[in-house]
Order: sequence, then C-alpha cells, then structure tokens
Amino acid sequence: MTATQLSSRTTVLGRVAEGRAGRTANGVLRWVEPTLAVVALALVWELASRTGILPREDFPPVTHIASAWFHDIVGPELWAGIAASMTAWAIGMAIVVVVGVPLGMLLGTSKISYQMSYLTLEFIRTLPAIAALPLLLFIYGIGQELTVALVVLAALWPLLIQSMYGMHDVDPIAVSTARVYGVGRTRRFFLVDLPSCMPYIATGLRISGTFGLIFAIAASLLVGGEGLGAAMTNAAMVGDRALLYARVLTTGLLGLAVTFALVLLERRTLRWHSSQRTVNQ
Amino acid sequence: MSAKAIRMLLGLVVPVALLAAWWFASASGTSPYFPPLSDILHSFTEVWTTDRMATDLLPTLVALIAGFAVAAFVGIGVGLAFGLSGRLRRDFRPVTEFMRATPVVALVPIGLIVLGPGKPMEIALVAIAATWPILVGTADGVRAADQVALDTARVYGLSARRRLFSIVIPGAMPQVMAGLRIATAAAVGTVIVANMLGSTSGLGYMVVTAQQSFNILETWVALLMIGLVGCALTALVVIVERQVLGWHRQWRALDHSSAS
Repeated sequence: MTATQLSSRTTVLGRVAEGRAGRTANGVLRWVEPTLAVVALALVWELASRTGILPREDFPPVTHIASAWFHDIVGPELWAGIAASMTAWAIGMAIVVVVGVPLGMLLGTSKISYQMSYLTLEFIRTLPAIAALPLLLFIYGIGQELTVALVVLAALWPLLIQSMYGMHDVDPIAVSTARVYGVGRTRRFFLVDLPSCMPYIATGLRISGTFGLIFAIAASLLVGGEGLGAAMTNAAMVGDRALLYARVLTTGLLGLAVTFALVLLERRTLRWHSSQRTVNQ
Repeated sequence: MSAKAIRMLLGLVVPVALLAAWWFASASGTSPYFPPLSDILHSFTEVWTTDRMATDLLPTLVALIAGFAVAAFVGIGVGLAFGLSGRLRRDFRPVTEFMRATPVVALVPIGLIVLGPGKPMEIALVAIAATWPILVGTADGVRAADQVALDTARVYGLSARRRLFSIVIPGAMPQVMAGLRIATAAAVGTVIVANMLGSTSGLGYMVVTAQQSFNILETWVALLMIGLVGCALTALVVIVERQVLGWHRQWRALDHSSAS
C-alpha cells in the first residue's frame, strides 16, 4: 500500500469520500444486476416459449403477456375488479383494526389473560380460514359481504396476537414510573402503553394486511362475483392465456404495492421506537 | 403444582370455554347454519369411516406432504445459496419479493391450465406456496451466522465444509424452523383452495360439494376435519422444532420474536 493511499484512508475526509464513492458504485450495482436478472429470466421465458421448449399455448411469450397487460390496464374490466377487491380488503381491514387492536391489548394487559389465550390464538391463526368459505357462503351468499367476512376471519388473528404481545411487553419500569409521577390511567395508556405497542401493532398490520389481500382475491376467484379473482377466472374461461398471465402479474404487482406500503408504515413506527430506545439508554 | 402445570392448565381454559360456549349456544340456537355441536360431533364419527378417510382425507394429505417436501428441499437448498452469496440474494431479490408478494391463489388458474385438475397441480401449488417462507427464513438465518464463531473456526483452520455444517447450518436452524412453521399454514390453505377448484376428491372438494348440496352438517364435519389437520400439522412442526432446537441457547428468545 502506497503512502498516498494510506493517508487518504486515514483522514476522515478520505474515508468519507471513499465511502461515498463505494456507496454510489454499490447503488448502481444494486439496480443493474437485479434488473439484468429479471431481463434475463424474461428472455429465457420468451425464447423457451417461441421455440416450443415450453408448450406455447400454456406459456405464452413474455411479449404477448406484456401487450395483453398494457391493453388490460387501460380497460375498465380490470380496474372494476381491482376496485371491488380493494374495497372489500379496506373494509375488512378497518374491522380487523377496530376489533383486533383493542381486544389484543386487553388480553395482553394481565398476565393471566395472556397466559390463557396466547396458545389458543397461536393455533387459531394457523387454521386455514379459506375452509370457512362454504359456511360463509351459506350465511352471506355471493357478494362483497362474503369477501369482507373472509378477510376479517383471516386477517384478524395476526394483528390481535401482535397487539397482545405488544401490551405484554410494555416496560414495567415505564409503567411504574408513570404511576409514581401520578399519571392517571387514561393518560398512562396514551403516554406509555399505546406508544410502546405501536411497533407491534404495525408489524401485525403488515402481516394481517398482506394476508387479508390474499383472501380478498381468493373469495372472488373461488365463488365468482366481483373482484380481481373473478377477472382472472374470466380470462381463463375465454381461454386467453396471455390475459390470464397478465392479470396474475397485476395481482402480484398489487400484492407488492400493498406489502411495500405496509412495510413503509412499519419502518416508520419501528424507527421511532428504536431511536426512542437509544435515547433512553 | 409446578409453574409449568399451572401454565398448561391456564392455556386449556380458553379452548374449553370456547367449546362449551359453542356447545350450549348451538344447542339452543335457531340458526340453520349453526347446528348443535352435539349433532356435528355425532355426524363426524359417522362420516369419517375408513372409506371416507381414504377418499377424502388421504388425497389431501398426500398432496400436502408431497408438496411440502418439495418446498422444504428447494426452499432450504436455494435459501442456503442465497444466504451464503449476497450477490445472488441481491440479484434475485426482485424475483423473490415478487413471488412472495403474489397471492398464491392467483396461481391456481395457471396451475389448472398448465397441469389440469389433479394431484400434480395440487402438489405444485402447495410446493410454490410453501417454498418462499422456507427460502426467506433459511437465507436470513444463514446470513445472520455468528461472525465470531466463523472467524474462530477459520483461524483454527476448519474447512469451508465443516464451517458450513457445524456453524452456519445449526445457527440458521431457528429461522429455518420459523419458516417451516409459516409454510405449514400456507400449505394447508393452498391445498384446500386447489382441492376446491380443481379436484374430484379431497377435503376441499368435500366441503364444496357439501355446501352445494346444502348439506350444512357435512359442511361442518369437513370443516372440523380441516381444522384438525391444520392443528395436527402445526403441533407436529412445533414438536419437531422443540426437538431440533432444544439445545439452542437463543431458541426461546428467537421463538418469541419469530411470532412477530
């Protein structure tokens, strides 16, 4: 190692410059290679489909899927399906939040209620909610109500459980401190309990939200009616494979968008939480 | 009584209370959709003869286990590679994230078209649904390998293979198991959906036909069996998890955080 290199490494400015240069190179790489990987996969698919290595009628070429996708996203049918699914999802999630968060926090308040319920809840959350669809079909019939009910039944548990864990893990010293300073019950709830539960609730919301979306789409896929699932079934029914793939792609992108939004929300609350913690220490 | 026994008893209170509430509410209830629990249980024992188990339960279990085995194999294998190579992980991130975010139910119509109704379609869909949680869990677990232990092993001249098998893989086990547990739930849900849409046998098919013929009691019986299968599989994974991770000093802490 030459002297100049050594000095540029040891000065703070040198290190900053180096770090910045390294970061830009990394930043470019972070985008270039993954993009290339996606392009390469699309190319392999295209070639395999065009040459008939993959049966062409089952796996239409990427270019066909892409053109079907561009036609689809300007048409009304897809957006009607998305609107129906997302409306049911949003209503369902609102119910999940209103029921799940208070109930979960209530169960997490006392040690005994926590001990009594967490095992049962952990088991309930693993039960396949989709199996209840036929039963819900008896009660609600085909329509948005059915989808909302299914979303609630599926998405309630993760948020409820996370809220319960959050309340269970509230720092007892913070609670005692608040009590010693004569902070009343209601104020203590808003000053101590709720803020320290927020990261847990945000995580629960992310899990519940992504989970609920699956069921919002599954309902119309399984029983028909309005929604993104029905839009996929329609494409399959008329035998338009490229359109079917395009709609699956749209579903995936929608899933990605919802996940991304919820992760962002979670990071916000988590960042607040960890910064708060370092200040405390 | 030991603290553990008290905790077990407390854990039983809620399920027993829920069952009792269901029993009494449905016994005096008038809703045709909620028949008395006693009737459901009675019909449960009548319906689930050995023949019915062979035609309705077994096909679902076979698809479930076969798909799950494929998912575990692929998920752990690829997850290991992704965990060891940061470059691989980064390059395929768009693909893995997209596949993770895509609701598997969206793939059911494609599965039906490409593979047609039947076992291969069910197995493939279960495998696809269950692979991602296992893959991501394994990759995260491998990436979080104890750096001090790895450096120590390198200093002591352990071969790359020994380092992989005695440090990286055991260290990743808690997250691999957490991935397997999430995958179980995903797999059960998927096999039921695949059953509902594209099968002529299995639990999902049974529950749909019962619903379509307005046989409310049999719908409940099928539902109860699906619940039991889900419970049994989760219990199985938890037992395996305890066996595999019993030695792990961080297990308890990780177990708690993996729930989040």
